[in-house]
Amino acid sequence: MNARFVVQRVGFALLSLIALVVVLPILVIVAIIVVRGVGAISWEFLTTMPHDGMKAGGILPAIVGTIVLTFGTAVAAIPVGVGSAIYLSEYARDTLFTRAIRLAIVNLAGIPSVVYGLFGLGLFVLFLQFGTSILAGSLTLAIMTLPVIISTSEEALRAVPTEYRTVIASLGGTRWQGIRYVVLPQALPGIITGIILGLLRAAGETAPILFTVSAFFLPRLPHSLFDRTMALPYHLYVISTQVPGMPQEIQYGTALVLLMVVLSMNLVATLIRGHFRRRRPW
Amino acid sequence: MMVTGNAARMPLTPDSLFRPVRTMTATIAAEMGEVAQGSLHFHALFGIGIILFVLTFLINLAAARSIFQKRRRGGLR
Repeated sequence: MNARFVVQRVGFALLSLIALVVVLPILVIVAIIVVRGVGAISWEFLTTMPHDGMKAGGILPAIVGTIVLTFGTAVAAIPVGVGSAIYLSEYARDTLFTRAIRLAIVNLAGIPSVVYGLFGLGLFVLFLQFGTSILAGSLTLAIMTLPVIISTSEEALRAVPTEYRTVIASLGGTRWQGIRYVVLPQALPGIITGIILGLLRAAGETAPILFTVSAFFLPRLPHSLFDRTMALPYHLYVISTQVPGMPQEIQYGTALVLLMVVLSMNLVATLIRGHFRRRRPW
Repeated sequence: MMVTGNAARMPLTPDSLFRPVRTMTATIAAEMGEVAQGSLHFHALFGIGIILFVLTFLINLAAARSIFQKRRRGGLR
């Protein structure tokens, strides 16, 4: 065999080995958390309040808190995110102004999550006086989620072929009619996938909710938007660093629940994408 | 934050690879909870936040510039 083919073989083998190294940590993480945490999972663990300084009982308030926060984030982030994506992909020309917007979005995506937490504390909690509340936390998480939603939605809108828009124009339709009845429905699966991926990031973050929502220990369900709440990621942080003598099983059980919430959201996103991609006419 | 040990020391020697350190992000997260609002300490933590923001901003700016330049030359897409 020719020497250069040997080189190619070796190169490809090395590259696939590297790809394997990327997958390995994910498998190991999931395996460890499932093995150590599955013993803690029970109906009682999922549906009761924690007691005895969180060392016993369930994690219901943290689960409900995460769901409420994710929902609040969705309500705040989806209209703004999808709206700006439509503007950027359908209306905006390449001017200095839209470049500034794009730069801002890229930057928003790169900011460390603690800085979002600080921002939320400064603006929502202190300046606007929402206090440490679900409202402040949802808005902070929404701002963090925006770049993901905007960039994926814009990508999905751009993937719709230009011919669709041209045909609408040739039929006498306005630009908005084209977007509303043709482009948006076509891009919807991509947009939904982006939204779920963004919300998933919000659901798993600790740092932005650290100062804006989180209650260290609050064994009741939230009453209003201005109430504090526990949330899964912060609860996990608390019970693994701040509480001495915490049973390991509860820590890994909580981690398992968080992992399941995030992974099932991810699965739904993948299924939606696969389902619509098969039916796409182009 | 959980795995670096979160200890305020300067990692200047080679054996620091095996010693605990503390990052800017961890400092904010750890101390903001127990600081008096409006105190010097409180503002110092926001100062760390600004430094982090400026750093990421500059890096992103550099990345965005190179992408814009490529696009203009017809490199990307």
